[in-house]
Amino acid sequence: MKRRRRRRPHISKIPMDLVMGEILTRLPAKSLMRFKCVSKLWSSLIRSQYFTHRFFTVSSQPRPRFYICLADLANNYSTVISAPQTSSCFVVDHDLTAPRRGGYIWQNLRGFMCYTFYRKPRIYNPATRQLVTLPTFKSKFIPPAPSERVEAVYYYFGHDPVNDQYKVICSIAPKHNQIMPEHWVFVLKPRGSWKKMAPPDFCPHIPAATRRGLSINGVIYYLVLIDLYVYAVVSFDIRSEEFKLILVPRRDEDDLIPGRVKKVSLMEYDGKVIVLDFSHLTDKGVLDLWVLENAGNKEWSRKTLVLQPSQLHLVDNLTFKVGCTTQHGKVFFAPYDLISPFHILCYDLPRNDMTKIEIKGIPDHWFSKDKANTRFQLMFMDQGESILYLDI
Amino acid sequence: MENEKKMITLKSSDDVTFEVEEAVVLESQFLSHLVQDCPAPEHKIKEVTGKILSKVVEYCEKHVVVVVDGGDSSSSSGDDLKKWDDKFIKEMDLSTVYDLIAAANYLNIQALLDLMCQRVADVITACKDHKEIRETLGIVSDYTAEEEAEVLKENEWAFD
Repeated sequence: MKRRRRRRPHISKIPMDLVMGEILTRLPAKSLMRFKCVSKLWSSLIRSQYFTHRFFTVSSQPRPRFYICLADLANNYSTVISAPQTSSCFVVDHDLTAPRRGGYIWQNLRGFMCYTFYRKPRIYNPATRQLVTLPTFKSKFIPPAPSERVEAVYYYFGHDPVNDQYKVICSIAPKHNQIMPEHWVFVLKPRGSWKKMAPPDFCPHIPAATRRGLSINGVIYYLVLIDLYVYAVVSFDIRSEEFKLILVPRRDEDDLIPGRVKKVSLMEYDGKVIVLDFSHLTDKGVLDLWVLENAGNKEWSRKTLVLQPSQLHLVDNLTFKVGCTTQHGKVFFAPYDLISPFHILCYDLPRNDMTKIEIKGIPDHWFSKDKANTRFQLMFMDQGESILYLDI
Repeated sequence: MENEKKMITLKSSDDVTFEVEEAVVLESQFLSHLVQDCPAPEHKIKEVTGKILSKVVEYCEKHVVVVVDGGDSSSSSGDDLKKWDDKFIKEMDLSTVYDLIAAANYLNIQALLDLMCQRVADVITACKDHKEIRETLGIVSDYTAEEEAEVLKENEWAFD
């Protein structure tokens, strides 16, 4: 015999601000997505700006996670897998393979992963699985045939905390050595579109090979070369849409290595922009840092970090690229090719400590593919989950 | 060594009285201000019933910080306290949990509020689908069949 169900107490017995602020912020994003299906009222509350902001700022931080984009150029196949941190290594536990996922990662910001897939810039939120594809724009530098590649297209993503607004800027040129790129900006809002910007007054420049930009306190930063040897950081104020050029100083005793050959990356630490030069990591165990102390006065400080002697063997005879960086001063160096077992190096800047970490669980077939046609990229997410629904 | 302890009487909305040590009352920000500002031996708490106040008192008595001789400040050991909390919430129905949330919020007892809110969050997280969430929380859907089908499709992945 069926028992009659007791009438359940209604959640409205609890004051609404407590439900939103104290209970729903404790749910995992996946559970919140189920909750959205309960009623229109709850769906709109969960999607509200108030709640999404609160969820991002107060919800318990998820475990840091690596996302790995793997691409097989010969077979036109790409995939994204992800691995959470365990005590000593990362183990792939999640396959996010779905249409239009993967490709070239250019940034991650506030829980969003930004990448280009088949020429189109896309923003993906792994917590809600929302994928947004930005529209295209008509530049004289984009060939009409979709099969033709645009060599030098760079996207940078930024958030302005004052207006809680997201913008994407694009620097585009037909070739990497083209010194007069066009600049376009896209505001992420309903029916948003690309707008061509007046050329910044500091041309000529070319974007540096490191494509990843930063967004700190409403300003986007990215690295450019203004001549063969001289690097500069371009800053873009998201609110005023003003570009500025900040030259990265050189010291007389520095080697004269052409910028394209130099191994340089941009990272954020302690709210500051850092230009990380790791050209001499392998041969000398040295990292050179230029820290942008004050962007307004273009004031830099220089630090040289020497690896602990007991850790030198980790970098010996290997060539690395910067896989990704974290806001807490960690740099992940990855080998150029996929080698099994797959190890990366994690350098902890404040502690001057290099460790070797294994990423386990990458499907075996990726290691047996032709190296020349295999690409992989790493992204480290430690900024918390966002449930913000991007409406464009 | 038994010191003379200051006792305070709390009276619920339905006139149930609880005699507790002052230290127990200090677990609540609201009550500690009240006893400081108004040193009466008895305090009526109009917003909380006897049934709920007995739970609040039970929780605070367990969590009260005991100052032992020598000045070491310790509560019951962390693990034991966690076990006690687990048992405390396990035996409670959702209706009582809701009332305790309101009471902990009113009396400003953050640890109790956290414990109870986490309990509701855990119950919601354990719901496998939207229907179960509705039933558990007593929510009525205002979606039309078409709208519901659409929102379910959009969030399909969250149900596996």
